Amino acid sequence: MGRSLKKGVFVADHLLRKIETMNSKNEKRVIKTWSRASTIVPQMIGHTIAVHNGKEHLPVYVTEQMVGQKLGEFVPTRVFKGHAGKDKKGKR
Amino acid sequence: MPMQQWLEIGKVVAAQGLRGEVRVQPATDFAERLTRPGVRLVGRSLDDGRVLRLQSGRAIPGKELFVCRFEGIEERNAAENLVGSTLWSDAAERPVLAAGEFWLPDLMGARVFRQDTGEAIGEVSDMTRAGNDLLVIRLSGGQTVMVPFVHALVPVVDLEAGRIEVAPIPGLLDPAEADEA
Repeated sequence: MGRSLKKGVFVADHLLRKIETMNSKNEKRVIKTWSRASTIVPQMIGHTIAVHNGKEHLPVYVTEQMVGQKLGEFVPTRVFKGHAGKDKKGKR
Repeated sequence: MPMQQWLEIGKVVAAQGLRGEVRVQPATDFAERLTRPGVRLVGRSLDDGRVLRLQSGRAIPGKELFVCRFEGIEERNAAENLVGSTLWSDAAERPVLAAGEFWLPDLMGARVFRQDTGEAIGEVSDMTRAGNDLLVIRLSGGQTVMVPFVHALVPVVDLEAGRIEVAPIPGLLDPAEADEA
């Protein structure tokens, strides 16, 4: 069964408070969080959130397309090193 | 053969069928390296590799594997001899990139500067993926940091000058400055 609509999506209180404080001051700084289960909400767009992967914090720059997904979805907890090669591309 | 002339693109993991095709696990983001006909180097190491001509290749749907056919490899026994070999492609063949895309060998070694002060802070040593592409930057002090490769944080990429500018926010280059929540 899905989460009740009455409650809204889950976002850790402490994380949302930090984001809203920064938004009110129009400030940007990296926020470290362990709350992988928090849902990405529109207030987070444009912020960089360093999400814990069990070992370290990896920075995620939140974009509009990420809204509705959980922070943890963008930071895998297992590092696959099988296809290490340099013939890769990056998109900015 | 000089080492830098070849770029690793995959590994032969099995023979496929009876007609000399092989299954290749890709180590490249560019599928055309394993599908477009042309010269490839195949072997256990760069020194004992032999040059083979890739005749055709196709991706196996649903698996991260390609089936490749090489000129002169016509039967299964010959294909099995290639299992465990690495595939290299000529590094001079540049892949086709869409707007906003960058090839990792072009980015590696690029010097990184702070946009606000113009100070040199290190160089790009690798790229990894987590949400956004993350540039791995080796700072002058020796430690490494990861910076999301997005326009807001990396506004300038000048490959000709080998220069990348980062618009740092507190906590990006020095994790100790980050807020915790």
